[in-house]
Amino acid sequence: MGDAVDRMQEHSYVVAAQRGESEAFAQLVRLHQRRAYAVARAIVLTHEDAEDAVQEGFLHAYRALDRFLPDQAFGAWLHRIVANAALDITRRKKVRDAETLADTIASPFRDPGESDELRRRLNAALAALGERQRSVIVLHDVEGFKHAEIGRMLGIPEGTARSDLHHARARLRQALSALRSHL
Amino acid sequence: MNIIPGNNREWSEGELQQTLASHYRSNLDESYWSGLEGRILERIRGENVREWWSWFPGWVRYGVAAAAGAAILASVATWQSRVTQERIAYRELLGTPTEVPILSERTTPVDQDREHTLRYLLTH
Repeated sequence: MGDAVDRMQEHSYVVAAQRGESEAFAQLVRLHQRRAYAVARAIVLTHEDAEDAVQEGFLHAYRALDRFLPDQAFGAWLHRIVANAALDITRRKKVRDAETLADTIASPFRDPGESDELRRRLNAALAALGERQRSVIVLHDVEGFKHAEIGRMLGIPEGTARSDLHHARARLRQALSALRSHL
Repeated sequence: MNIIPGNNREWSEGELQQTLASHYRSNLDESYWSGLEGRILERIRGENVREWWSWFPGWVRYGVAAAAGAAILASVATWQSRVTQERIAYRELLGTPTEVPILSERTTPVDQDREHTLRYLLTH
């Protein structure tokens, strides 16, 4: 019931925003920015890049708003746009990231009792995964998206998302096998 | 999160998920989200991304574009025609006169016929 009401409200915001009501678009930003940030954060490596991707995503969505069919799910459409913006950012920064990544991975394993060490290892392992596998595992295991949703967001078949998830988990397990979490 | 040295045993799926969730857990507070919302809306206002033509539906946009094109062509044609007329008027007003009225006696074929007839009558 609540979902239906939310969908109706979202639909009315979309229609009003398409008529040019800026307050309606502000409502859509308010409703979707956290989830959009989570999508972007799954794809890029830093908080700053995630915010850039979210801003770019909303900007693109605003520009393309008149082509959006209000009966569709606005969130799914927005997530695809934000994911594209995030992927663009990772591609632009690929060379620079590769340089910093080499330094990160080269860090010797010193004190496993420090949580910083796990964070550092996890960052390095996630960066080493490559953008697609990293995005898939975070979107699935952290954000709870389904394989099909992830496939649509990243522009890959559902089966590819499934196998990426399997390989990403295996590689992360291997990278972290020298450590044990104690949550 | 605390970690302890491992023994190279593989992590379980649950452990991995929990570690990832903890790693990605957002510690961003309300002020961050209201700030982000403001920055997004500011960018939209600042870039003025909604151009005037985007307010028309698709087919109306084509019609407006065609009408604008026709209006431009008509304006160019009118302008060229006016320039040509002005150029002709200028030449007529200031240019070197090509026809000076000269009193001259011209003989036309009709005059010549008359002369022949007159000569014939006088001589015969």
